[in-house]
Amino acid sequence: MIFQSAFFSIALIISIIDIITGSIIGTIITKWLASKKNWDSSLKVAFLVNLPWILLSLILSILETFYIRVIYMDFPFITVNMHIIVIVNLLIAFVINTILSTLLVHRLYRKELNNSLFFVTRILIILYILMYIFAIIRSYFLGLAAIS
Amino acid sequence: MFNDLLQFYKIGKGLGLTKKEINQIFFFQKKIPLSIGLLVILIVSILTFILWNIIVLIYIQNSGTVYAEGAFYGSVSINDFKKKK
Repeated sequence: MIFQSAFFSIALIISIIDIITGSIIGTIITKWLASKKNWDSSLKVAFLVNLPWILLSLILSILETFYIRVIYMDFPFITVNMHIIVIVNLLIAFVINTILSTLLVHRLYRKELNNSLFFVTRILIILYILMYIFAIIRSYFLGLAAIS
Repeated sequence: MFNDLLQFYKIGKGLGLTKKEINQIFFFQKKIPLSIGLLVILIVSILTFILWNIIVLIYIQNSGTVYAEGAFYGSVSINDFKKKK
């Protein structure tokens, strides 16, 4: 029992470390792409563009930990595919994230919605691929299942 | 129906229109602005997110064991079901 609760705490802490890493990587990518396009390349604006990603990832990781706790502790005999729940949540979060970040880029960089949408989509695709690779490497070294 | 569509394309090409412009003939309304489209998608996806998680939670809540904890399945007899009428 103690080990199980410790496992969930560790899973949540790892997710938070993932989010911090992701926010740093996202800020660097945003800054790089903005300077490439001769837009405002300040760190503050780049961080603000990544704010929806940070908030949504935090919500998702809390939800995931909650589901894992409910499914594996309260209903151990239940037949639920955890991956489907996570993937559907991730896809919907990607859409919400893209739109929120697009509106932020449109507001902060004062660019057209079209350009902002392409800019954000490019950042998010790079960020999601990098975070996926990071999660695989992290789970490989820690010996934990890829939770996030 | 397909003949009509082909006819539309032929007439459009005859008028010197591009394929994109001919395709726009089929959408009789005005083009929806991107900002409104994005807002609609945002609202729909937030609602889907909430609904999906509610569905998952309801499914998990209703997928527990049928009998009370510690009950012996062998103790359930046909008469128990007859009484339920």
